[in-house]
Amino acid sequence: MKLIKKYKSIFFAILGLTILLTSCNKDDVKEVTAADEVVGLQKVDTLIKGNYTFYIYKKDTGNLVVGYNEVYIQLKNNVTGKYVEDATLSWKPLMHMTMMSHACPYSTISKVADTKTLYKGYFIFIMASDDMEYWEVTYDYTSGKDTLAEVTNRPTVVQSTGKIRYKSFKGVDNTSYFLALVEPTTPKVGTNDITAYLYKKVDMLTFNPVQNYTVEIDPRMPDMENHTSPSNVNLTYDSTTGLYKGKLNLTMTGYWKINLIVRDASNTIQKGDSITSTTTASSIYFELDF
Amino acid sequence: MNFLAIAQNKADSIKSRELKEVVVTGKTGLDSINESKPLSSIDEHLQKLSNVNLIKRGGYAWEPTINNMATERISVTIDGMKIFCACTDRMDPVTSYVEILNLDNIHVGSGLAGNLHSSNSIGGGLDLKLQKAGFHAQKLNVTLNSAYETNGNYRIIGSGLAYSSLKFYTNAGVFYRKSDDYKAGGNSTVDFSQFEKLNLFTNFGYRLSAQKSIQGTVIYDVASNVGYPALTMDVKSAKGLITSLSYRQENISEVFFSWETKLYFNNIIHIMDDTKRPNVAMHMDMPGKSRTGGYYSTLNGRVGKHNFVISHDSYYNQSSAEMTMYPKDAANKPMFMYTWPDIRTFNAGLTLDDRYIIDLKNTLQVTTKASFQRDGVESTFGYNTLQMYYPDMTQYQNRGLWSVSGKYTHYLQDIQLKAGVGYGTRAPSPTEAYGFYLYNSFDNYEYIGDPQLKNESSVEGNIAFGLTKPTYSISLDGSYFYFSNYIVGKPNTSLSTMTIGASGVKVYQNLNHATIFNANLNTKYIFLKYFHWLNHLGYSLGQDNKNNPLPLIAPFSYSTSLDYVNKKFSADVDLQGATKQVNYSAEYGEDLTPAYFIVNTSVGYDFIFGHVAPTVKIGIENVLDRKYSTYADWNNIPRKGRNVYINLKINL
Repeated sequence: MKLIKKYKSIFFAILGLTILLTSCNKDDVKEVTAADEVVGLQKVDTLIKGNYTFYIYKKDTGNLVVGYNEVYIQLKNNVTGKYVEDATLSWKPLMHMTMMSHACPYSTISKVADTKTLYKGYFIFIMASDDMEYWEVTYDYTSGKDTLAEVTNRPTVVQSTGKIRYKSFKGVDNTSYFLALVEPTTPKVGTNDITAYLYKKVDMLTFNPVQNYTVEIDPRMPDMENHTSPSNVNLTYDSTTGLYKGKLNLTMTGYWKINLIVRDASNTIQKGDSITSTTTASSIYFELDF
Repeated sequence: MNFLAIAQNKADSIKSRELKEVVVTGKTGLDSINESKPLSSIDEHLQKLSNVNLIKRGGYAWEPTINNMATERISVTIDGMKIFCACTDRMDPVTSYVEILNLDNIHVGSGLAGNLHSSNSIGGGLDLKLQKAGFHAQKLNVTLNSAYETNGNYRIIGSGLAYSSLKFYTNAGVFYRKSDDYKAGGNSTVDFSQFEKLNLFTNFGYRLSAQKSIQGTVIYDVASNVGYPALTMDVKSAKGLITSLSYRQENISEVFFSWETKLYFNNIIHIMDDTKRPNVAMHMDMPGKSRTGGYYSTLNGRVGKHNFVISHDSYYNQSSAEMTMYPKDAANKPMFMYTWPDIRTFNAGLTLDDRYIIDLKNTLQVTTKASFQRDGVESTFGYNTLQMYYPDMTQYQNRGLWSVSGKYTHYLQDIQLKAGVGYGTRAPSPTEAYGFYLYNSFDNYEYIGDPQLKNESSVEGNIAFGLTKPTYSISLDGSYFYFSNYIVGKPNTSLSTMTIGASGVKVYQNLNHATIFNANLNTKYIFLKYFHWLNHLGYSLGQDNKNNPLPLIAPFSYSTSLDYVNKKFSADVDLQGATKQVNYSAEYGEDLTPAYFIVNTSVGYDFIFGHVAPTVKIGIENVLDRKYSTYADWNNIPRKGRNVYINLKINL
C-alpha cells in the first residue's frame, strides 16, 4: 500500500512538473483582468449614470430573494474605460408600499479581498416586491464630500421557492427580529460551518445587528423520525464579522430541518421551541436539502 | 484437540461429531456411503461438528461460530485464502460462496492454534479445503448429482468432473440449488425463506517437473432472490468470484520438504432488496462490496524431531457499503450515507509453528504469529462522517498483533491427554471500527463503530482426555477463554436513532473483561459389527465483566444417533435437542428459548447397474414435525418442519 502511494506521488509529481513546464513556456505570469474577477458571478443589473456604470452581480442565477442576498459590484469609468479600484461606495434599500415606506437589514459595501475591482455587501430583504409595492436601491459613489455618481433601480425581489433560509419573528420582548442563514450554501455530510445574521427593527428605516445573543440549533430529519446528529455547536456572536457562528453536523444527505431557539444576552428565549417526542419542530427553523 | 482424529477412518466421516479438528470427507470429495445426506449444504454439514454452531437468519447462508464466537472472532479461509463478506448485516458469510461439491474437507481449528493462515482470530478457524484430483495415474471420473426435498420444494442438481494424470489434473463442476419458502413444524410457511444458488468451480494443476507444479482455482458463485425471514430485507444477488494461482515445490532438501506460494484475488458484490416486503416504511438501496487480494508463502520442513512450518502472508481488503433511503415525500432528495466508508485493511504476518516429537509418548507444539495491520477509511465522505463522532481520529492507523500458543500431548496406550495454553490479540473488525448506523434486528439497536478501540486479547486454556478401544471411545474436552478489552456494543443514549422504530444506538467499546467456557463429551460404541452408537453432550457459558450472559451462547445440548452400515446399505436414526436457554442475554435481544428435541432418520443404498453405480439416500428430517427454534435462530424464526429428501449420485 505504501509502495502504491509512493508510486502515486511520483506519478503526480511528474505530471505536475510537466504541466508547470509547458504552461511556463507559453506565457509568463498572467495579468488578472476585471473580467477575470467576476468569473462565476451572474450579472443582475447594469446601471449607467453620467460617466460611470455600476455592474451588479450575485453568485446564483435568478432574482434577488426575501432573506440573505450577497451582492457584488464593479464600477467602470466610462471615460477612461477603466474600473475604479479605490471607490467609496454606499447603498440604501427602501421598500415603497402603498401606505408607507421601510428599509431592511443591509451591510456597508467593502472591497473583496485579493481583488482590484470587486466590491461586495449584502441585503436581507424582508418582503417581496410586486407591481404596486417595490424595492428601490440607491447606489452612491462618493469621493470626500462629492457625490460622483448616484443611481437608483428597482430590483425584483421574490419569495424564495427553495428551502427556508430566512425567518422574521417577534420576540417575547415585542421586538421584530430578522434571522438569515448565510452558510452552508453547499452543505456536506460531516461537520459544516454554520453562520447567520441576526437583526432587529429599531424603526421603519433602522435595522440594527443584534449582539451577544445565542442561536441554538437542533438539526433533524423529519423523514427519519426526527433523527439528529451529535456534537452540534450553537451559534454565538462574532464581533469582528458581525456574524453568528457555529458548527452543524449532518450524518447523511437529504432533507434536514435546523430547528432554532434564539436566546438573548440574559439567556431568555426570545423565540423557538425545544424538540421533544411531542414537539417535533420549533416555531422557527431553517431547511437544507442536498 | 483432536486425538480421535488420529484414529480416524472412513467411518468417521463428516457425519461424526467426534472429529473436532479435522474433518475428512473422503479422498474424492464426499464419502457418499457414510453420508446420510451427501448433497446437504455446507451449513448443514458444519452444524454436525462439535464446537461449531450456525446462526440462522433464514433458509440460506448461515453464519458459522466456533466455540460460540462468530465472524469477528474467527477466521474462515478457502484453501488458505482470505475472503471477507460484503454484507454489513452478515447475510453472506464466507461459507455461502462455495458449494459442498467444491470441497474435499473442512478443517476446523479450535482456539488460538486454529489455523496457520488465519489473521485476527481468537475463537478458531475454518479452512475450506477444495477438491483436487491430484497427479495420479490417468483417470476420468464424472458424477451426476441430484436431490429433491419435499419441504420447500427444494431442487438440487449438479455435475462434477475429475481428471487426473501424472502431468495434469483438473476438477470442474456446476451446481444449482433452488428452494421455495420452507415450512416450519405444523405446516406453517415461513415467508421469505426462498433462495436460489448457482456455483461454477474449477481447479487445475500442471506439473512442471517431478517436484514442481502450478495450481489454480476459479470459483464463481451467484445466489439470487434469497429471503431472510428473520431480517427486514432480502437479497437480490450475492456474487462471488474467487481466484488463485499457486506454485508448489516438493522435496526441496533434507530439511525442507514442501514450499507453496499462492497469489489470490476475490471479489464479492452483495445487493440487498426490500422491494418484495409489504409495509416497508422507507425503501432503501444497500449494496456492499468486498475485494481482497493477497498471497502467502508456506515452507514445511523437518530438523530431527522438529516438524516446522514457516509462513508469511499478507492481504489487502476493501470493504465498502452504502445506503440510499428514499423518503416518502418525493420532493425531498434521497438520503445517502456510507455504512462501511470504503474501509481498507492491509495485514502482513509471519507465522512460525513447531511440532516437537519428544518421544513416542510426548509431543509439544508451539505456534506464534506476529502481524502488522494498517486500516482506515479511504472515503473522505466517510471520514468526515466519523469525525463528527471522533473529532481527533486519524484517517488511517497502524496496529501490531501477536499470538502464541502451545500444546502438549501425552499418549499412554489407549489414552491421550492434551493440554494447551495461548495468548492472542485481534484488531477490531471493519464493523467494530468504522461501521456507521448498522441496524441489528436482533436487539433493535443501531451500531456505530469506534476507530479508537483497543485490540481485543484473549488468554486461552484447553484440556482434553481421550480413550480409544476397538469397540468404544470416549472423549472429554474443555476450553476457557479470558478476554481483555472484549469488544461489544453498548447503548449511548446521547445518540439519535435513524431506523424507524429502533430502540437506540449502541457504540462498540472495550469491556474490561469477558469469559467463554466450552465443554464437550463424545462417546462412540460399536456393537454387532455394523452398529455405531454415537452420543454428544455440549455445554457453554459466556459472561461479560458484570457476570451477565453474553449473547448467542449455546445452552446445554445433546444428540444421540444409531447408525447401521453394512457395505452398500446404511441406515440411521438420530435425536438432537437442547435444554431451555437459561443464560440468555436480554440486553442483546435474546429471550428464553424453550427446550426442544427432534428426530431424524435416513436409509441409503448403492446400486450397481452395468458400469454406472448410483447411490440413493432417502431420509426424513424432523420426523415428528416439531415446530421449534434454537438459541441461534435470529429473532426466533422457526426451523424446518418435517422434510423428506432423496439424494441421488451417479458415477459415469
